[in-house]
Amino acid sequence: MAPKAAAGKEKLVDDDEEVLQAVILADSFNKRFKPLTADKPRCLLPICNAPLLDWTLESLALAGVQEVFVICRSHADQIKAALQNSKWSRPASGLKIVPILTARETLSPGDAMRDIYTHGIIAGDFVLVYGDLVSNVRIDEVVRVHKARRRTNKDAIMTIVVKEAGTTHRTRSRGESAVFVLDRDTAECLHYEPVSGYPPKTLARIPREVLDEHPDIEIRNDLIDCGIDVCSVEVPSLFQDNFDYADIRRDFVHGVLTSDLLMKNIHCYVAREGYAARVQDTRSYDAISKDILSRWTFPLVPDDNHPGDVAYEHLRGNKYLPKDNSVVLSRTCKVGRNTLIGPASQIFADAQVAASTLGARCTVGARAVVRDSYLGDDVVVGAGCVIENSIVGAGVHVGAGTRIARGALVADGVRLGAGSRLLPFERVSRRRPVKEDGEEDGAEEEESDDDSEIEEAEENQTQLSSLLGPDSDAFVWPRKSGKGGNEDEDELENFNNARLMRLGKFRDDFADLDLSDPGSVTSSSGDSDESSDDDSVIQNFSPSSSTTSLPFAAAAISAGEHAKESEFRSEVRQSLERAFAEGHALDNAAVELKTLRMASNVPLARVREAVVERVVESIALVDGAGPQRVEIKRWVDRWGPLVRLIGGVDGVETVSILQAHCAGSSRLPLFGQILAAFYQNDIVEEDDIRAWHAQPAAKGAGLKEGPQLENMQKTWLVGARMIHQFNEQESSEEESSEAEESGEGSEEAEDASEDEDEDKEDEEDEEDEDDEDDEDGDKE
Amino acid sequence: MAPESHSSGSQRAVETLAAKLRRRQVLGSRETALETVLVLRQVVSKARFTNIHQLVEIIRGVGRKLVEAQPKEHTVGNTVRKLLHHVREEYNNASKGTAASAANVFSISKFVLQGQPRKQVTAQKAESALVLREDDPDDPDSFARTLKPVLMEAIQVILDELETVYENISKSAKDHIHSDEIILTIGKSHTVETFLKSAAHYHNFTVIVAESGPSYGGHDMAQSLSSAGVSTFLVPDSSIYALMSRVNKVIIGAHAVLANGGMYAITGSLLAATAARAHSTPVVVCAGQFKLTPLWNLYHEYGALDFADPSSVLGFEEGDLVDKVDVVNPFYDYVRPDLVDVYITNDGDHPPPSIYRIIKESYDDEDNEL
Amino acid sequence: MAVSTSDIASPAQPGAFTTSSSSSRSILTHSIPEDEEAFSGFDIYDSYRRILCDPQISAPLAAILSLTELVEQSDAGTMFELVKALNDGAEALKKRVHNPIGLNAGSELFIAFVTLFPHESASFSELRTELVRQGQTYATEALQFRPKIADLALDFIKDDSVILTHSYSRVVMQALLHAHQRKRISVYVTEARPRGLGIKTYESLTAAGIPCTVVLDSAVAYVMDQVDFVLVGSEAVVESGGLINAVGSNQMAIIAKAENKPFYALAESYKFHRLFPLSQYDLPTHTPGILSFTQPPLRPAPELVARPSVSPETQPVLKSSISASSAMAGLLPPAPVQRTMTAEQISRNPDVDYTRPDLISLVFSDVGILTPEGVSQYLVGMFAG
Repeated sequence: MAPKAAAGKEKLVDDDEEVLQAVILADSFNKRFKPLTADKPRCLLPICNAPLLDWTLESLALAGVQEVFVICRSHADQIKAALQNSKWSRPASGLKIVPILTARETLSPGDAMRDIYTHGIIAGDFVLVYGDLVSNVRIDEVVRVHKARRRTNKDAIMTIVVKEAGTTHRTRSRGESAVFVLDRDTAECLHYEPVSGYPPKTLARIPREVLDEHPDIEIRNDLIDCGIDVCSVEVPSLFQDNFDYADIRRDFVHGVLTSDLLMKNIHCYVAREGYAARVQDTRSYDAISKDILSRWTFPLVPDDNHPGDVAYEHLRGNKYLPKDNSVVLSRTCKVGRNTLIGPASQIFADAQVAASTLGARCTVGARAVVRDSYLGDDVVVGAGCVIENSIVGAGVHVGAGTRIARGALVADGVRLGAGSRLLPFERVSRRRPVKEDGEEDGAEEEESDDDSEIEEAEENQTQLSSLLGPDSDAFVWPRKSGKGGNEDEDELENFNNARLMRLGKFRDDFADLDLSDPGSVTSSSGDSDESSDDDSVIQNFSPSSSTTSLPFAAAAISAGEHAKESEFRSEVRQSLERAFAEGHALDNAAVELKTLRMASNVPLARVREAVVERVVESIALVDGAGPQRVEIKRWVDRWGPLVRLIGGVDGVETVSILQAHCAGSSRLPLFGQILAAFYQNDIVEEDDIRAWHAQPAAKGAGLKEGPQLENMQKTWLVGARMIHQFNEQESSEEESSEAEESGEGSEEAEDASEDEDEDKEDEEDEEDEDDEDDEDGDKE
Repeated sequence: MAPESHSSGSQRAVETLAAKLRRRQVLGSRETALETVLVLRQVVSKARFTNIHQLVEIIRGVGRKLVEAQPKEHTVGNTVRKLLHHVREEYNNASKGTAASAANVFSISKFVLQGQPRKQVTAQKAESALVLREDDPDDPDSFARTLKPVLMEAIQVILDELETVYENISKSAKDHIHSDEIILTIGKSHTVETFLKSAAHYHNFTVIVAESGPSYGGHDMAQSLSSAGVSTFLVPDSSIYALMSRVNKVIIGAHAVLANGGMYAITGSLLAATAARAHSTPVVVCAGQFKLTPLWNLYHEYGALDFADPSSVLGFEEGDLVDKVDVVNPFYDYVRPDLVDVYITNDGDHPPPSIYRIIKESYDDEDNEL
Repeated sequence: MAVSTSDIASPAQPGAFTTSSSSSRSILTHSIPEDEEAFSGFDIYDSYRRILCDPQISAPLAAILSLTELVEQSDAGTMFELVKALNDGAEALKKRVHNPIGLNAGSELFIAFVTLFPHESASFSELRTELVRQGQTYATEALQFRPKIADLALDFIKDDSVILTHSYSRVVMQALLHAHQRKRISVYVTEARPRGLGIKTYESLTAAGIPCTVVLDSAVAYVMDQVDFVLVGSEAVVESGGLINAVGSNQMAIIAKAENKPFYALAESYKFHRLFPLSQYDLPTHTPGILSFTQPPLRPAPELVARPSVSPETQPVLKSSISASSAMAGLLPPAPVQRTMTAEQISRNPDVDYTRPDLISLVFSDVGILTPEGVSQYLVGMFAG
């Protein structure tokens, strides 16, 4: 039989007179899965078609736990009902499960522990886990080790189970991990240093005493914290005594280890065999799903000891289909590797499903593509949809031709109309019925903290819903941004750290975040680094930073980045074409561009490039100078301002972009006229043109011989002519003013005109600021 | 009288074993078979039934539950089938006196069915003097009361058979292995281990043990054999082919023997069997009768190879690789019937094509699907 | 009709066959003149043809049913007479049917059954009625065999399988159509010249929505690599464990073996036939005419000596002479003629061939899945009583 055996297990249980208890914290105390968790607690989210809580209970049952207390906070009634109906409630299951409701004021695991203390339910050593654990680690072995240790050392109050993984393991949270300092011999945890992904932690401070007392220590940054703690009975009371302990790790463990008074010890159990991980965030949801499908959790795999009720058959390439043969696969559909398909699902012709899980009764329409995604029960995916790297809740109806980009979360029951487009990391839930009067809010008090956010978002809906197809019953949640977030937010939950914890592509995504291994970062790079990073990451529309961020971004561009950019470019093109064709309002078009930019996280210059390019390319080539001029005017008048509206006015750059584009396009002869039109529309200023003209790059410096260089030079000459005109104009203006004001010195007049220019510039700056404000308004 | 009316105590025993099977806490074919018999004994002793159909239904129900819990451990189903066979046999023996053998109308289809393999009617046990009264309204327990002692006896027979299975297989060991032979085996199999040790009492021979990665059961096997005084070499699996030219016989164990004569055995067995075929080395498989499984086409089921977790092949800590590589770690190999020369069971030696016959003799067809 | 069967060991009727059923075979070999048919007016061949018109009835069943009718019509007064009449009928049938293998299997089964039938009824006519009833019951039961076999075969057909089959077989069709309801299968079928029954298979499968491609009989080796397994029906399954089926099955099995692909045969149990052919030429269908060499038409001596391929002029002449089957065709221009065999040439070819048991992986039958060895043991068990 398979190697993972539990030969000695029975004896162990027999030895122990006392009942092994376990406490499950069935609340996550954070909102990383919102909006999926809006109507459902996280522990009832299905992973591989079985609720997380069932996986947790199975892990405990595997360890011979006999009594389980489930601490529920939000949606407690749902959890209770789920427990009642599950197989665990049957007498033969061997588990006694007691759900415990805690007050809504229980806001942290620490509060829950205090609650446990007040309930007085713990009789001896107990296992503390979260309701999102997937594990096949021999917890009974940990308990044995813990008890043995307790016999000699009464102060060893807790054993933390950690799993060796490796720093960049997919299952290891990048946003929330820790450095453990262990005594090599006793596995005592000497120091605990929480590590958040962003801002990157570069230093771990190890107290000197640790080194004094322990000659042989291990400092480990490659461990997955499984969230399994074997605790002694004192642990809840310690929480009670220290009412400010909120988090078990960052407060309690840290507190106990640093306290001079408590004199308690905490140990680690490094699990070398077995698997354990927590579904802490959408990213680990993805990783753990993949681990289950590729059988790391054996025997907790769909075809074996699956906690759900359905028996699956394991097929080549780690595909899992229900044994009852209820799945209907069309002849031409493709089911890729590492895929789980729920009972009675249907996959139509030419559809592709790969590295995904489908719930029960799902339908995937013809030519649809579902990749790296997790679909709940009863999801209907229309023909030709593309769903990538997303989580789609139960009962979602995805209209034909919809694209759901990576990282999107779609809550239960949403209807997306045909042709909808969800941008990367979009979060969508079902639209709430319009409230008749605000007074009825009381009933929904639970979600009051969400409401403010939602209301804010509601303003945005009109613009955002343009991306949703007709008949959508969906509500797009506001995108989080680093700037908008409340400052008091938990360090762990800050925007950038949260980015590291969400589902989606891994590496290229964070190219903008400096996440180099802490060990390789020298301390000098500290602050300055961070601030500049901030600028590039956070959507900042000030003109200065957009340019400064360029080199950073450019430096970070990798091969993946290029692919991303081209994707972005094509999306911008489509968006603009739509806007041009359907004659959107300028503002709306600008908003759409901004969201695209935020979603793909590309520098502003790219957007500007794309806009200029589109505008120029849209101008038809017409015979005859006159009609051509009209044509240009028509386009530039109508859409030119978009260049300004996308934010960050930088005329020089605009001209450069225009030049570079014209030099490589059939619109080369139009360069002069377009530039003039830009000038007419105040898109660029005279000074911009001059500044551009002065740049060596404008002459084509640095370019290789070839048509491009020639064209650059041609355009530069055009520019030169224009400047020449400016100069002439100025002199003529002088002349005219001279004529008007009769007899004033030409120098003075020049000064005056300069003043005028300055005034104009000032005005412009103001305008810029206004723009910025507008944008901020939009965003919030 | 509903069939599920047997007491909650035996119900719990069933559930416990089912859970253990699901969680892979009972391992090894014989171990599993023994546990199954014990649970069945408990079930039968507590069961309340008034006729044979109820009894059969009760046993089947338990069997179904256990098989569902661990469909890859075939000995569970086999044991249940065996018991059912015995139950029917005992019942037929006992009821011969009372009821005239039911509806024995001769028809063409009956005639055709004469071809079915069946056990030669063995010398009747002392004609049982049981009087069975089925569905007796006055005394509903009478049937159970009369039949139970016989059933307990039958279960004891199965138990005894399981307990002595290794010895019985090893009885013929000395005839299969001769002095100065070189034997190749792979992995750790209790059956083969006992077999080789028993032969070692009579002959001096050499055993080459392939370690059978990634479970490396071969290490234990080599240890155990050499401590029993057998001259033993431990070799990596990759050298099996190279060594085969010097090997006289390949002796391996089986996980399940199928009706078509093929078998499931620890990974590497197919490698050894194929290498043996290339060198025309005989392949001898030692397997208890309880491993004979009335399935023909199990090899169609990809999952039947029982894919374990990849950690023994690629460490979980190799984080970067885990993302990019799909690791496949099957626990068993399917060895085609034409690669096996003979099966040595506790019921004699059989060539692969006769396996189906023994299976037909030891189980009833209607139980193939529990 | 109360026939007590509890006493199996009832004394045999005078003249009943007490020897094992193999004697029935020896009887078959006695040639009995047709005109000796003791019952006038009943033509067993007509009855056989009529019954065979039912598309569900195959040759062995038709034989059983026509023999049943014979029993009904017969005026035999004793068991001995009856059995003789049956043997005569079977023989008459055999003579008039081109390919008697299937019906042989049926008659053999029925006659063996009649000889072993325990009877103690008062009147012989009662026994006859009982036999008739038995025959008809069996024929009705037998219609359930194919679904049963299809069900057994289903377990062997994986999703996404590519199956190669040969010619047309009702039981194979049923198995494929049954599998199609649950699994995605694709089928290659051979054309099966000269009768082209593969086209029939192709049409029915395509009509049912199963992707199907017709393969030349000569392309079997080409297609074998693409195939997951071979599934064929059978005319008869014989005592060696081998198979008699439409010609081409043997080569298919040989190629499948060479490519290590499973070769499964489907056979209803009434096709089990006590025959032990050792080669193709032991089949009852083999006549000296099959594949005999014809005397080449007389030619001037030098050309006879020359090998046909020596002279470029003679080669096309020879070929077209074959196609025209006329020695005078030498004058035809070497134009691209459609070269097909003549009916006469075809008639010199076998209809069925024999596949050795070692080439067959498994035989699916309504009595279960059997290995070829199993078939052999089964037949012995069945006819040895």
